[in-house]
Amino acid sequence: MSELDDWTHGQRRLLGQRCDEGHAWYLPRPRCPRCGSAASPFEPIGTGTIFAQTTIHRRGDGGASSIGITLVDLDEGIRVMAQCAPGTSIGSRVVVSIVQDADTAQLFPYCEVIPA
Amino acid sequence: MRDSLIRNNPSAVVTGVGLTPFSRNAGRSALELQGEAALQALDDAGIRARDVDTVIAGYATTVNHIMPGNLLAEYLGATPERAFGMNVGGATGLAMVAEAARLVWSGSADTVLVVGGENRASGQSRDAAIATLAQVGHATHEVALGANIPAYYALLASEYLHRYSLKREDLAPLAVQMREHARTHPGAQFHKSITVDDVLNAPLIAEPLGLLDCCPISDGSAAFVLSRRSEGTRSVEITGIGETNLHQHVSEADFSSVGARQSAEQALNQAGAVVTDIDIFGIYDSFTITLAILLEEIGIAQPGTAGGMARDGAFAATGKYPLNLHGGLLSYGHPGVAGGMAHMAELVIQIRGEAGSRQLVERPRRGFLHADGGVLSAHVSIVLDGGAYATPSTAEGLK
Ligand SMILES: [Zn+2]
Repeated sequence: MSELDDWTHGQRRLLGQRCDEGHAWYLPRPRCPRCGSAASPFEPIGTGTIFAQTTIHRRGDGGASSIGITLVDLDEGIRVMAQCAPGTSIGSRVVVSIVQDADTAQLFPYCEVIPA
Repeated sequence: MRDSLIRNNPSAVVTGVGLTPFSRNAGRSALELQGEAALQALDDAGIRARDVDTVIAGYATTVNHIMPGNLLAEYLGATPERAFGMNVGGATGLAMVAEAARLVWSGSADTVLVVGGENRASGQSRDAAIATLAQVGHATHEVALGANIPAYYALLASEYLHRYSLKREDLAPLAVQMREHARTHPGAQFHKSITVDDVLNAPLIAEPLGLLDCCPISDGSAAFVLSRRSEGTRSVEITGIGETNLHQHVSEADFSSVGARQSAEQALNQAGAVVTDIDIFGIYDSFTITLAILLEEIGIAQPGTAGGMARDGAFAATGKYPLNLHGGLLSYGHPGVAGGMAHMAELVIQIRGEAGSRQLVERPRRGFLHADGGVLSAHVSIVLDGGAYATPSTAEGLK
């Protein structure tokens, strides 16, 4: 298994971490970055709000393509980088889930706008 | 502020400057480029390589050597007491100067050579360079999504424009001003004037950033000699340094306070100065948004107004805050470590009064420098002081 698909441990689940003091964070660590107490994993529901968003434009030999990249503030208080549809607006309510790239088998977070 | 305990006894003075032209293809290896800037700086200081007791070299992505300081020292004919490399992304140049100043202040070093340079543009494919740089992102949680450096900064830009209800044209004047500065510098990578419309009509790279919001990838090198002596009208003293590191990844960044303010305050406090005491500025400008956020956190611009100030000429040579008069990363170019050092080279040259046609009419005395590495992750600020110029030149005696 490559390093790239290791972080979900092969499971299609979004993972955060938190400590007994109520701090929560996203990027995996051995201890709480704020208070240093023990870290335990949890599965966020996935609902959140778009905090920042960009659409990357690529022009290569294979033609032009674009992907959306966003930072989503999940309702549990952690910020997650995810792919999104190009042009998704800041402030949109979204749900983040784990999807798999058809070509590379890579698992990664993807967010979709929750219809109003 | 901790450094103030040991500062000034002895002082740390920039006595030599080297800067090559930046270009798409210098036709030389990283080591050759480093050697060229290093020899310029040594000649400028009036010393030989074997007079140096410390060599500090920045990383080069095209070399990836495990002993860059030693490699360069041997190439130059230096036999220093200590030689080492440093990796702090775009902040490496100023971080090396800060370490050099501390070594001099502490009495551990008398003469330090600081060098950064590489053939970043010509020594590898564009895709390879972008992939290498993307690694400042998180390998599994950011890079794996297809994100890259422009995307990380574009995320900052999207939130910035949203927060202040601004548009792309409100950042564009920063790129226009940098190009205007570069136009008359023979060493700059770009000389053709651009307009706000040119910036807006350039191909989009990562929205809201277009091609002209982004610095180029360049070949080039820069070097300094720092010495433990302070006489002479060509001597420029380092009077303040500040450093702050609050995050590595953009996913973890506090967008409202990335660390530039603390770093700048520390450097200014140590120098006993405030922003309005500064005559000339050199601020890292990897992207228009980088420059906007840094100018605002440091306190040079009010929140949301950096682009508007550029539009109004505040950062022109005749403006209130002369900024990046060599053209900055956006237009002088960006070969990595040397990119952030070019800002310092310009400040030292201006403070000495040796900038020729670019020379500020009123010779500046105090300069402020700031660089960031990663995604506004590592911050280094430096205050330079040319003194009162009353001292007669003793340059000959220094040699
Ligand atoms: Zn905690």
